[in-house]
Amino acid sequence: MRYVQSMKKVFGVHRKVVWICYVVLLIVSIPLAFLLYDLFAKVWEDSLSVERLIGEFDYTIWRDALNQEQETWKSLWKMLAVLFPIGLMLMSLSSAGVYYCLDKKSVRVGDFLKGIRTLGWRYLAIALVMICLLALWSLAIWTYYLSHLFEFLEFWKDDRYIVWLGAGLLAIWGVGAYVLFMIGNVAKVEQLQCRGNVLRSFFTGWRNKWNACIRLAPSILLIISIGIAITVLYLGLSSTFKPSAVLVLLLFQQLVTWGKVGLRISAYETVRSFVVGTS
Amino acid sequence: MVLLILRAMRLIIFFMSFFSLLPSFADTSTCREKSDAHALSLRTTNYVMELDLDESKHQVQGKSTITWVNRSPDAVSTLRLYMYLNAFSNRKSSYLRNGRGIGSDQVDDRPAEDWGWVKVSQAHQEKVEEPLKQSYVSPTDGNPEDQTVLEIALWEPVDAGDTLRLELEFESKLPRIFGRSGFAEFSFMHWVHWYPKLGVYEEDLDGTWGWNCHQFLPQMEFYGNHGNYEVLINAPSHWTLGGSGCMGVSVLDDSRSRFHFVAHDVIDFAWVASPHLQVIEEQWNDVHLRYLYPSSHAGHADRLVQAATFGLEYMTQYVGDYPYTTLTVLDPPVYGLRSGFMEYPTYITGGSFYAWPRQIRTIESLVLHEFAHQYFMQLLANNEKEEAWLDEGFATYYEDRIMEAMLGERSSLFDVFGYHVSNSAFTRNEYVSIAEGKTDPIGTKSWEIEGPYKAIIYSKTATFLKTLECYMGRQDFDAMMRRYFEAHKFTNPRGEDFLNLLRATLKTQDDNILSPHADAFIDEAIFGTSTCDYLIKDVKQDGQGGIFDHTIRLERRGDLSIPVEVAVKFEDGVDQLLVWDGQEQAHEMHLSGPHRILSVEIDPHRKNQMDINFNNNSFAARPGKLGRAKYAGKLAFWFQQITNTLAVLL
Repeated sequence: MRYVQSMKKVFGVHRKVVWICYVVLLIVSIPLAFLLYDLFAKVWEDSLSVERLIGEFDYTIWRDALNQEQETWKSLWKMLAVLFPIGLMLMSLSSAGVYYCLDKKSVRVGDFLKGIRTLGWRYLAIALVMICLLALWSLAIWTYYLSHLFEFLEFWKDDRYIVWLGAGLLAIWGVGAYVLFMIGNVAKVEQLQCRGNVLRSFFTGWRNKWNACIRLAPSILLIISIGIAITVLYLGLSSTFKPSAVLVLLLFQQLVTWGKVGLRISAYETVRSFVVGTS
Repeated sequence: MVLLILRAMRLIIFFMSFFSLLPSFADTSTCREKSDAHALSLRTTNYVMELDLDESKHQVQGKSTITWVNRSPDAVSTLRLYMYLNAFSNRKSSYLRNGRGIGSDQVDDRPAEDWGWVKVSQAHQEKVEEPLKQSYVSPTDGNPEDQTVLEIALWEPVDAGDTLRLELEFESKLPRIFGRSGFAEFSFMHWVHWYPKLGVYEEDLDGTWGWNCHQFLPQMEFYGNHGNYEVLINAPSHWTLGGSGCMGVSVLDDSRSRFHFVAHDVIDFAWVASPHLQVIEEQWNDVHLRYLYPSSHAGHADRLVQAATFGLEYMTQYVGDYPYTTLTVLDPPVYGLRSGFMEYPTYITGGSFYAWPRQIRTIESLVLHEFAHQYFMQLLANNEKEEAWLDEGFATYYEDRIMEAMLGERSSLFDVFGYHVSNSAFTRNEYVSIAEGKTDPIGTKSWEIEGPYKAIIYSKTATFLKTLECYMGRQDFDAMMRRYFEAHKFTNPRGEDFLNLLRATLKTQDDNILSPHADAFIDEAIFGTSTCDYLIKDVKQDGQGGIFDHTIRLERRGDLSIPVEVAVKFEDGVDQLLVWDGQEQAHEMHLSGPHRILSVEIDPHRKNQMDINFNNNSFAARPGKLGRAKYAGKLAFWFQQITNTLAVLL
């Protein structure tokens, strides 16, 4: 029941921390939303297409816009190229604040900022190592599948095997990503107690990390499953909204985001409480 | 005594000949074409073939008897035959040489057994002992290394109206599958363009008679006269065979059977053989349907069945009767997927994967496209090499229509979580996406097209036809298509046959705003490369004393012009529909009245599908902001989700 306790703690006592992280995420996405809002004004100007965007998805409006306004869309990619790394950096820094607050049983903004000040750069370093390891792991798995796909298609008797192999590799990739998540987060929790060398803490204490991987698997998987279920529910529900319910849609989206930020912090808390409890 | 022996011998010979013929009669008793009683076509070229399949070598040894009726005024002394398997005999063929053919990038290091060919070992003209002389010719590109057209010099010319009987002994060997024809793993064999096939002796546009028999180049598959095919194939009994026409089977011995195909009034014959295909048989009216598929595709076999039967129903209702008694649909296994996405007379191939989502309807669209070719390519047997738009473009247009009738107008191709795409919108997008300056006229010969072939031949033509349908009205358009079909079925129509009918039909439509400008529009759309983009430059509203003077400035970019409707909406809710003939590059409309304009829209019903940008067709005096907010919010939401998810891992 570790995940229930974590979720209770995060959505109950530490709701303020969830709000802080949500606001950080919102602050990063607001410039994007406004830039997009302006960009759409340039693409569709004062045409009736803008009105039609309120209604059901119209492929023609979008394709014509993508075909004819290619220069304008380039600014979107430039925008994302800047905002995306900034967003990830802020998320990584805020995880320092989250862990600090969870560790100190505090919900004060001051403590959140103190956590960032004291642990932020260490957490960033861990995040960078994690990005590299995750990229290497993904390359190792998917390069094999994709480079052999045509061979599978031509020489395998049954395409079920190809799909199953893909699903199997996805599962293997998922296990790898999960292990990396555990290694990274156990290392982050260890930073709370031991302010030693980041890399040393990252590559030591394997027993603890391995224990976390095994024993927390059901809890973390459940939290991830709830996250996926929320996303699917959002997609299903939002597609049934009446066209005029744009504001409801936007609010609903933010509710989903808030919930998923809470789930992320619940995952942190699950790892933290386990590591602290076993150290 | 001698007389008795002679009589006994005659009896024995009679019974022997009777029984030797028996399988042929018995196995075709369930295989009768509607056309048995009367010919549907002129049956200019007819084939009787007997084949022995060597499945281990992917080879057939065959004997072919071709009868050809000379319908020209000439005495014909040479024949030309398609030998298209030779495109895969070496890398010097025109198909592989220019690197555009399917699979032409995969010819390096190919072992000898992976190449294919077709060879005529003996050719005899009826009543002449001496074998005929053969030589390869290259009438299309002059490549002396290409061996895809065989010329045979006859000993005696065939006079006008006479019938030639030609006996051939040939050998065909499949390559490892390139584009459509070939063998794959697990003994899958797809036999298309596999036998020596006669070209078309016809009068060209200059009035000169001669053989129209092009070499095999990419995108150049079909051109032939209608005729009858009777094909006997000796193959393993436990194998599944399918192909053009109806099929009967008679057992020869413990391991082998004779598969007997009969196809009447068709232009070609193709077949598939594999030990690993399953079969579903269905009946639609008097058409017997066979679906061949690998076991892993059983989960979506119903989608093929539904698409094919819906297609039969739809095309019969809107174009004309399907005159054959069979239709075979192959859903190839993935190892034979290169045989997919293709059309042959009464036999089509689709393409799918295990667990293909039902919300992505490409399985249906492929089947329907290839089925539409039964009308445009097979019944109306145009020259695909010279005027591919007449079959590919028309088939795409009907594929769009049937998909939308079967699966809904907005979501016929894709429908996932509220994001939907219709088949015709996808087709139009392919046309609209052609980069400026990278296009060719629709009417270009296939081997001369340098731009994106599919977008030009398939999509631009289909978009052109949909535009015509919108301007003419569906009922009148369908009536015209039925006339076109009835006038030219079982013949080889040319583009001008369709265009003349189109022009004549448009001239009778007094209420059609396109009619006065139809000739220029058609010529530019088919034989030109211009595009059109109608747009509203600006709208000015000056008010004095309660009366407003409105000036609407319209513009056309591109040289393809077509009349358009302009809808004006006023504040008091009154709508006004105006017409601009669209011939000038810029145009001004002046209106006055007591109310302000709320919106102006060129072509409000999107009749002109060839307009490359609908977004600039309208003007709103007070454009709403919610639409922009909705998608700005949506995209920002997905940014949040991706960032939050990655943050979990980091």
